[in-house]
Amino acid sequence: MNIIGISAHYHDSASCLLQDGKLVCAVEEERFSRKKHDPGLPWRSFRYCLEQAGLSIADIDCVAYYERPDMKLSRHIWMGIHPDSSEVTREKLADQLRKIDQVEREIREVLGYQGRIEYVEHHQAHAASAFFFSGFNEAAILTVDGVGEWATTTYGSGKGREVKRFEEVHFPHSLGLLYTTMTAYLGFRANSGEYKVMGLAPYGKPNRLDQIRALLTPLEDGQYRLNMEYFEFIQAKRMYSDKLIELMGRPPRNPDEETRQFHKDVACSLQAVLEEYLLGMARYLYERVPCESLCMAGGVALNCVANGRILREGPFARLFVQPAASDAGGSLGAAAVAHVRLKGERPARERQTQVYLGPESDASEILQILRDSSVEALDFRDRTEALMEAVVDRLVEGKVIGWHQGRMEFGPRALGSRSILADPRGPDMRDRINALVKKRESFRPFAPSVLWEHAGDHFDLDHPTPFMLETCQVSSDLDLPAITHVNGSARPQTVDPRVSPRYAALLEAFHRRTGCPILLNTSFNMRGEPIVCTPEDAIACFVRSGLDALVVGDFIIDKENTPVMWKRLVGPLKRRPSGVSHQVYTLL
Amino acid sequence: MSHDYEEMLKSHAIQTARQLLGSTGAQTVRTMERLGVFELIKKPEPDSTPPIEPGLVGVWKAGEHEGKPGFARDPEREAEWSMWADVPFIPARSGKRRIALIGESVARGYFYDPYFTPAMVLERMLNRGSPARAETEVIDLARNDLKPLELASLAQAAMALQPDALVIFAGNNWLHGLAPKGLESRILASLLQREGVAGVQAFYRHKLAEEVGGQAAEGLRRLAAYAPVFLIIPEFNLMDWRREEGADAPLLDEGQTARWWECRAHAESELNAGRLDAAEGYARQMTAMDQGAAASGLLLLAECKIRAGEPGQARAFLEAARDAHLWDTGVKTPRTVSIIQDIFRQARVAPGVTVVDLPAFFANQREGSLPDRRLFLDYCHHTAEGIRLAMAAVAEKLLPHLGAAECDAAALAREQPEPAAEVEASARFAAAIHCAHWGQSYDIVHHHCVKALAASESMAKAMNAYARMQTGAAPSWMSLGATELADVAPPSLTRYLTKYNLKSFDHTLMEAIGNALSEKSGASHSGFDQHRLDAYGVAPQRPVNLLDAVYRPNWTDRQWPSEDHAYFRALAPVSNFFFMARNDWDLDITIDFRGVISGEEDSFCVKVNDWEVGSDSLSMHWSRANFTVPAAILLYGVNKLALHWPVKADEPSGLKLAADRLARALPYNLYPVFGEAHALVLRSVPI
Repeated sequence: MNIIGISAHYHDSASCLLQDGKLVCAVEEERFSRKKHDPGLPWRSFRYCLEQAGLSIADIDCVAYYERPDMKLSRHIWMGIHPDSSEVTREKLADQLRKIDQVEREIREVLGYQGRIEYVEHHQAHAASAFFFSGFNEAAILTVDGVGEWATTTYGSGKGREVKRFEEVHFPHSLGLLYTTMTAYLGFRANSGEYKVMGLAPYGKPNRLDQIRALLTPLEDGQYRLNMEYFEFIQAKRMYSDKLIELMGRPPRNPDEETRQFHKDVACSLQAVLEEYLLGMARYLYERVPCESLCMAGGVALNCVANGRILREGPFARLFVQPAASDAGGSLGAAAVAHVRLKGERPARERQTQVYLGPESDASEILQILRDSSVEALDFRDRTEALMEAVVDRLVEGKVIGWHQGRMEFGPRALGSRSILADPRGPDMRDRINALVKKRESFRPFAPSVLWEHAGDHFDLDHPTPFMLETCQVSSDLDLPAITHVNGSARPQTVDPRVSPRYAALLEAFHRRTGCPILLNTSFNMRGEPIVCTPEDAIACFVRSGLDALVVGDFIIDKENTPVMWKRLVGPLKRRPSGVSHQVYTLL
Repeated sequence: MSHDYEEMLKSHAIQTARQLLGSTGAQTVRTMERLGVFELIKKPEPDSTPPIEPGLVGVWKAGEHEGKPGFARDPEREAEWSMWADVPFIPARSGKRRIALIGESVARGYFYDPYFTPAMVLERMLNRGSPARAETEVIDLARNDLKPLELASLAQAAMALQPDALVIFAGNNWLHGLAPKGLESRILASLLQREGVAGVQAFYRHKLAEEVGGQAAEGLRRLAAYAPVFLIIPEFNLMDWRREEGADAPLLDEGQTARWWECRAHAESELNAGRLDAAEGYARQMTAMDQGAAASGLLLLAECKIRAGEPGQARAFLEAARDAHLWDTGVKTPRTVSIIQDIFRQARVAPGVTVVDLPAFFANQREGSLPDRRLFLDYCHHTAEGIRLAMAAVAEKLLPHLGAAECDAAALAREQPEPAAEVEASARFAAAIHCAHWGQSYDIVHHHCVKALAASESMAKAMNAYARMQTGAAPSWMSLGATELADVAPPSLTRYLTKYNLKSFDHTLMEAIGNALSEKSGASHSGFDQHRLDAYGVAPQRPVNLLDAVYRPNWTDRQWPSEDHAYFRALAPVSNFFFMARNDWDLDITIDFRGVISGEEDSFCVKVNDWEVGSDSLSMHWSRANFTVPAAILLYGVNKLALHWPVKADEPSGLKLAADRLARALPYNLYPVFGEAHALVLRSVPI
C-alpha cells in the first residue's frame, strides 16, 4: 500500500510517502525550489518520493490531501460576504471560485495522478500526524494553529487506529492568530517571525498581562473567543486594528526599529498568556480524556517553551509533539488517515525517532562534484574516526562548521544532517555566527545538541528530546553562553547514537577532547534562505557566508582552501519570493 | 458582530460551498464567469508604466561627481548596473552636441558590450570630420531587456540630459505582456472555439496594432516636441534563425494533425530530392490546415522560393514564419514583427520623427539578399558588421540634421574599425552558446565557433574551459572550467557564462565546439566525452533519469517536468534524448508512460541509436515498461534515445478543452500532446 500525502496551497508545501504504513520519505518543497515557505503544489517533492522508493506513479494507491476543499471554500465565502470583508477578501473569493476545483485538478493534471484521492480535514491531519507517529496506543490529542478550514483548535483522542475529535474552536477565534497578530504588532514577519517573539519573551516582564488578556475571553468546554474589535485579519490586509494599538498604548514597532523594553514586556506577557491558555486546554482535555499521554501538533505546538510547561505543570505524564508540527507535517497525517481508511489498520505502531526522511548524496556523487571544481578538499573516505578528529580540531579552534551529512531532515529543525555547528563554550560564538551567516537578532540564543547519555549532567531533563521541541533549564557546570537563554533555559536536541550514528560520533569525539558533550547546532542556511538540501546548496551557502569549514559527506573544505573565484562567481543569494504574505497570516 | 449572526453567516457559507461543489456548482461558476461577475469584484490591474522619478535617468541620478554636475550611477540600483552601459558618470551638457541612444539589448551591442557598442560606433561616425575635437557625444542609454512601457518612461526622463536628438532602437521586446488579461481570456476562449488558433492569432495582431500603435504614436508625438526623434526599425535574422523548439503546429481541427505531420514529412523529402513543386504543394497543404499559425509550412515554402531563385517571395514567407507563433505567449526569442515594423513606418509622417528602416536599408546595401548570419549573431543581435551598417544608416540621416554634409552610409560603415580580435572572438563564442541554448541547428552553432577561432586562436582555451565547465557535475560557478574561463576570457563573457548559463547536456554545442577545435588544430577533441561520461555516464551504481533538468535541450523547452506538469509531455511525434554510456555494459530502460487518445489501442516504440529496442501498447493510464538494450547497440560516449509516439494527437475535444481553460484563466496548452512519460530511467547492467 503506497500512499503519498500532500500539503499545499497555504505555506510550507510538502510530500511524504507511506509504504505499508511506514514513513519512507518526506520533504518540504522549499528545499528543492529554494523558495522559502513555498506554498505551491509540491511537484518536485512528489517526484522525489517516487524516485526514492523506486515506484511508478501507477504504483501509488492513494494521494491524501491535508485539507477539505469544500470546508475551506466555505470559510473563504464567509470571509468574502462578512460585513467586515475587504476588497482583498472579495477578490480572493473570486479567485477561489474560479479555481473551485484547484486541488483535484492540480493533482490530476500537474502531478498526473489518476488514482484515488482522499481529503483529510486540516486538523484531523495534524492530529493524526501526532498520534500515529507517537508510539502511544492511547492518548489525548490537542491541535492548535492559525487556522485550517474552520478549526483553529481541536480536542480529541486517539486509540489504536482511531483518531476522534470532540470539541473544536472555530475561526476567527484562534490562539495562533492571536500570536501572529502580536508578532506583526511587534514588528516581526507574520508566518515566520513567531519564534522570534518566543525568543524575545524571556527578556521582558509579564507586566502587560491585562492588556493581552483583554484580547480574548476563555469560555467553557475548552472554548475561547478573540475580542474581534482588536483584530483586522478578517480583511486580510493587516492583523491588528487601531483599537489594539490604542490598547497597547504604543504604535506598532517598525521592523527596523530596535526592540525596546516595552516590546520585550509585550512578548513576555503574550507568551505567558499563551502558556496559560495552553495549560488550561491541556487540563480541560485531561478531564475529558484522562490518560497518561498527550499528542500535539499544529504550528502553535512548535512553541517549545509552552510545550515544556505543559509537560512539567500539566496533567499528562508523557508528551509527543510531531516534529513537523506545522503545515508540512499535515502531509504525514493526511497519509496516515488515508492508510486507516484504505487498510482499516493503524499505519505506524512505533514512535517516530528520527526525521531523516529527505534526499542524500553518496560519496561518489560528492566526489564527482569536487573533482570537477578546483577546490582542495580533504578526503576522509573510509576514515570516519579521522574525519571526526579533524572536525573536532576545527571546532576547538573556535571555527564555525557547515555540516552536510546523510538524509535531510523533514520539518523546521536542523538535527545534525544540515546543520551549522560550533563550540558552545565560546563567549563570542553567538555574535560570530550571527555576523557570519544567520544575521539574526542578537537576543535569540542558538540551540544545543547533546549526547543523550550525558544530557542529564548539563540540562534539567529526564527524557529524550530528539527534535528540539521543549525547553528546559541549563544545569551544566560548563559555561555555555551561546546556547543558554537569558533566563537560563535552552532548547536541546538529545542525540542517540542508534538514530544519528555519525552526528553522535562527532559529539563523542568532541566530548573526548574537551569534556563537553554538547555542540551548538543551528540550521544550515542564510537568512531568508531555506535550509540547504544538496551538496551544491551547502557549498554555495558556505562560500557566501564565510563559514570556516564545510564538512560534506566524507570531505572537508577549509575556508582558506576555497578558490578565490568561487566567491566572485557564486554571486549573492537570490531570494526567491514564495508568494507567502508576511503582513497577514495565510488565511486565504 | 453577535455570535448568532456569525453562526448564521457561517451556516450560509457552508451551504453555499456545498452547492458550488455539488453537481451543478461548476455550471453556476461558469455562468458567473460569463456574466463577468468576477471582473466586477476584481480591481482592474494598475497601469504598469514605471513612474518617472525626477532627477533619475536609467540608473544615473542627478548629482555631482568630483565637483562636476551631471548624473552619477546610483549605488542603490547597483543590481541593475550590468543591464546598462558601464558608465559611472554622465556629465551635464557642455558645448558639445548631444545624442541620446535609447533601446534594448540590440542597441547595447549584446555580446560585444562594453568593448564595441552601437553608441561608440555612432559617435565615431558623427565625429568623422573632426575626430580629435569630438564635437558630438552619444549618450548610451540602451538597456538589456527594456520593455515598451519602460522605454516610454526612459525616453521622457532622458530629456533631462538635454539631447539634440533621440535615437530609439527598439521593438524586439514588444511582444512582452501580450498574455490575456481580465475579460480578454473569455474573448479569446470564444475565438478559439469558433475559429481555432487562427482566431487567437488575429486577436493578438489586432491587440498589438491597437495598443502599440496608439502608445507609439502618442509617445513619439510627446518626445518629438522636445527633440527630434530618429526611430530605427529593427530587422530579424530571417535566413538563419529557426523556431526554438520541437512544438510546431497548434491544435487543429479533427483529423488534421496526422495529415499535417504527413505533409511535413513529404514536403521535406521532396525538397531534399529537389522536387520543388511537389514540396511546395505539401507545404501549402500544411499552411492551409494551420492557417499560417505554424512556422514549418511557411519555412518550407520559403526554402522552395530560395531554391527557385525568388528571394522576394521567400522574404514574405520568412517574415510570416517569424510572426507565425504570435498566438503563443510562452517564452520565445525577441523579435520585431511586421505589425510593429509597420507601425514604425507609419510614424515617418509625424512631425519631428525620422524613420530609419533597417530592413529596407540592409536589402538595399546587400543587393536584395536576405538578412543572415553576416549581419546577425542570433535572432536580432547584430554582428560587428551589422552594428556598423545599422549605425551608418542612422548617421546618414543624423549628420545633415547636425549641420554636417550628407554622407554615404556604405562609406561611413567602411571607415569604421573592426572590434579587437579578442572581442570579436568572445562575441562569436557567446553567440554560439546562445544559439545552442535557444535550440538552433548545428550549422549555425558551428559557424560561430569557427568564426570565434578565426578571430582569435586564444579563444580555443576559453572553449575548452567552457566545455569542461559544461560537461562536469559541478555547478557552473564552482567548476574548474569556470575558474579557467575567468583566466582566459573577457569578464563580460565569464559573467554571461557563469551567471546566465543553462547547465544542460548541450549535445549540439559540444559537438560544434569539438569539431571547430579539431578543424582548427587538426587534432581530435574527444576529451569532452570522457569528462562528461565521468560526470553523467550511466553506470551500474548510478542510474540516470533522462527527465532531470540537465537533459533539457534548450531554454524554451516546455516538455520537461515543470510546475505546469510534473512529467514529460511530448509536443512532437518523436522525443529525442541524449545520454552518456559505455558500450561494454547492457542497458536497462524503465519508462512510465501514457497516451492521450481515449478509446484506441495504439503503441509507441523506443529506439536507441536508431535501433528499435522495444515497443508497448499505449493507453490513457500510466504503465511501466522495461526494455533491455544490448551493449552492441551502444556507443562509447554520446548515445541517442528516441521515443516514437503515435501521431493521433488531434483529440476532437482538444480545442474545446483549451478554450475552457482559457476562459477560466487557467494554464492552457495550444499544442497537441503525443504522449507523456513520468520517469525515464537508464541503468547499466554488467554483462
